[in-house]
Amino acid sequence: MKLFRQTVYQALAAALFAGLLLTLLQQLGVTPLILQAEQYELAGTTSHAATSDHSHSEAAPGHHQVDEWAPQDGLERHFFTLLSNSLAAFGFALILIAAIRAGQLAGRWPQPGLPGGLAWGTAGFLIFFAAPSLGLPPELPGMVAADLEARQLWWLLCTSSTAVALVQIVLGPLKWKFLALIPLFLPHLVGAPQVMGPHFTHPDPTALAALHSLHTQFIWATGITNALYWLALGAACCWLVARAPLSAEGPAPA
Amino acid sequence: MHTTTESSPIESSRARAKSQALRPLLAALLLGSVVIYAAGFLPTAVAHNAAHDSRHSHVFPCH
Repeated sequence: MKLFRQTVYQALAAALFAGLLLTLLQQLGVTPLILQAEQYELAGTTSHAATSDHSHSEAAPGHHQVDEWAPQDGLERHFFTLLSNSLAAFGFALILIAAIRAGQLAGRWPQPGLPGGLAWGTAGFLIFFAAPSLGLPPELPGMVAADLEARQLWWLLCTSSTAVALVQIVLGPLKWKFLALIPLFLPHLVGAPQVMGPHFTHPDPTALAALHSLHTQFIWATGITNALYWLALGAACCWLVARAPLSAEGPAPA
Repeated sequence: MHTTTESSPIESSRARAKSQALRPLLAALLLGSVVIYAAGFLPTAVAHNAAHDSRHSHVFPCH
């Protein structure tokens, strides 16, 4: 279990670095857009509640349910975002390092350096951001979307299927590489769960136009942020893995 | 495990490393999946509220 313990420590180190970087990058482009969308969401909900019999006036900014604990806006909210980012990065790093080690053992990439790290990061970006975003574009708070569980299941199908496709493209024999097209397109042929009707239902047309503009900015902001985050995570994981080479007896002492 | 790489062919050394590494790497993969579930998918309101901005940034389906 030495390799498992070492993988966990390496993933933790990579996650602390990537989680902090993601939190800082988010402050530049992503979080301000989320906060702006929440303001429209709150205004739209209040306005809707005032004119509707079946109000959902318990909704608060960020869809936080009032009855349940939620971090206070400001430092507390940023702290929990940092914590969640690092937790997600830890999960991704565990999978990434396991894959990098499997690549080493298969004799394909015995010494993944910086180019290898950037390649693994690109793979992570394609699997966990680009592919699912084609079916389920990055969502702003307040957007109307299809059933949550159906979208989560499709996300799982899309990411795992894209991962299988990338493995087939890289490792499959040349004449069979075309088979990667099946898992690559399968989730998109199945189709992501979509909502019938508009994504924004704000009663004010000016606000609606602003929300659509915010959404376009949000897609770019999350795309650039995730690209940098995944490249950093891939590079960090490969750097850590390269510091502790595998031997026949397991990983060498760090 | 006292055998050395000097006395074994490289291929058998690699095969042994592979068989020994399979379980810990699968365990890491499984733990990683559970951790991602906790960060991005756990449906309880408290988990959602704490991880809200992170879920939107990671483009996990949220709400």
